[in-house]
Amino acid sequence: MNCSQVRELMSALHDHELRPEAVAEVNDHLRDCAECSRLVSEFGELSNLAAGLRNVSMSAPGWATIEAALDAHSWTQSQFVRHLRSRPARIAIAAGLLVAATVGIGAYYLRSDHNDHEHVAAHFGHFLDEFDRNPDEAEQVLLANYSGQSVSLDEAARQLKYQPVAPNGLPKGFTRDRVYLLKMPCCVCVQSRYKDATGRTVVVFEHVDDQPAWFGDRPTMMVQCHGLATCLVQVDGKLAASWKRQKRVITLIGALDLEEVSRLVEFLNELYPQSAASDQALNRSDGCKCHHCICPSVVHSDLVLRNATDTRPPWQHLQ
Amino acid sequence: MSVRSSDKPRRFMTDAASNGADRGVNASRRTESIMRIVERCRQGDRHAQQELYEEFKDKVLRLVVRMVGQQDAPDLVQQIFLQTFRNIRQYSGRAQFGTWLYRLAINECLQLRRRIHRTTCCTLDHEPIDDSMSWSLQSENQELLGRALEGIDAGLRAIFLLREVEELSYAEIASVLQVSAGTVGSRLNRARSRLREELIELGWEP
Ligand SMILES: [Zn+2]
Ligand SMILES: [Zn+2]
Repeated sequence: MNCSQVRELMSALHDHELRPEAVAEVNDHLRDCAECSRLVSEFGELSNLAAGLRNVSMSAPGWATIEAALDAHSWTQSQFVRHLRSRPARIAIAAGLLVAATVGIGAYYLRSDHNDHEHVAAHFGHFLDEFDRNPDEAEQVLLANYSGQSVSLDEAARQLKYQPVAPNGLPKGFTRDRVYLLKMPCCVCVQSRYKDATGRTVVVFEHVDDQPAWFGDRPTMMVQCHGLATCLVQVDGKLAASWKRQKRVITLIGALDLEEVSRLVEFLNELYPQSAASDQALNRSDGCKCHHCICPSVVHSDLVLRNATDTRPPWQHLQ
Repeated sequence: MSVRSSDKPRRFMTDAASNGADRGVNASRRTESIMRIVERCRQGDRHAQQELYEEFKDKVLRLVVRMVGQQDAPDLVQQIFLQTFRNIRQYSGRAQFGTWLYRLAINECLQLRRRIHRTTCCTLDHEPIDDSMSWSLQSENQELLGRALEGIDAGLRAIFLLREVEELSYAEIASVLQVSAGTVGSRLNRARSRLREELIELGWEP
């Protein structure tokens, strides 16, 4: 046999699917041909690598999900595509918080032509769904989808090309647990995970791109906090808040109540580089004189609700 | 080099639930019991549908994750099983049920990929097919293989996965893809050569 005949049989040889007579002939050739021998051994290395693909870190949907879909209707292909595109379509109820609930962010991202927003919203929606029950598992959704990389503060700053605020620490009582970089479609996002004394997880994301899709179409509420337009969302028993200062968007997940949101917003606000004089002018730091503030000292009754038809990113609503 | 080794576990085809080590009497009992479940599914028995789902969901998920990426996998798994239950009367019983289900799953994967490529710009190309918890934990070469797999034709990717991940024999692959056993060998040659090229381009040193 010559090289090209042998190569035609190479997979069959490697997979033990070759007729015995042919095996002997191929082996004869391999003894004398270094090039073909090398290819066979590379097939072996490919197989070894491929064995690593047998484990999958996610699990299949539960039967209840399948059963619900079976019950719902018989789906057509086009319905399925629509379903993929409209995820997440969950409406959480902001019970116990304040009666405010408006929908608007969802409309904003669905109008975007770029599918990335939808995927980010879907992943983030999944993350929020899981967060209260099991923050570690929730985190894996983002880590797996956005090549999560655990980094030191120096490494984070190096890759982001700016000094992030959120990984520097939260007020006394919180310890920093991990810092990750997530390669989101639009930019790199830094995720800082903190724990308090009770083991509760608080996660803070920081990035520099307008990404209004994170809360999907969950009910949100806009408030002023320390002069910053802040978007609030109830995540099961906890609160999430997102605000923008300078070019940074900070999103905080896992606060216990409004007071804590206010405290953390104030704390992170203090950490901004003080050299940015223009920013100082934009965000008055002279205490809380804001009319619609959620800070403890201010009455909560005068919250600003977003207009449901307003499709601007949330932080622009009050600015 | 041995010939036609029969000691490779064929986990999905005959023995989806157990560890696949025993392919003898147990395997044929397993096939029989799957056939009974399938028969009940044909009559729309909801419990049978659940049994079938529990039996095959992990294998289908694994294939789907490797074919289309993690992000669309849960929805696609659901879609595949909805199709399975809707079309199960068309399953003739001549081939193994696993073969039939693999064929349906791969068709759905290929269709989804085509739809995505038509309707959006670039999502899949950027999504790591590899879904390890954190790539920092995984060996560099496995990360490379995930990326290399994305770079090859979806049909070649499917045959590579059926062989290397699902561990099907050539006869079984031929039955899933409805081609001859000889074609399986030459397509696998192509798939492996393409993967090798992609890997080397990505910096793999065999
Ligand atoms: Zn040769
Ligand atoms: Zn305030």
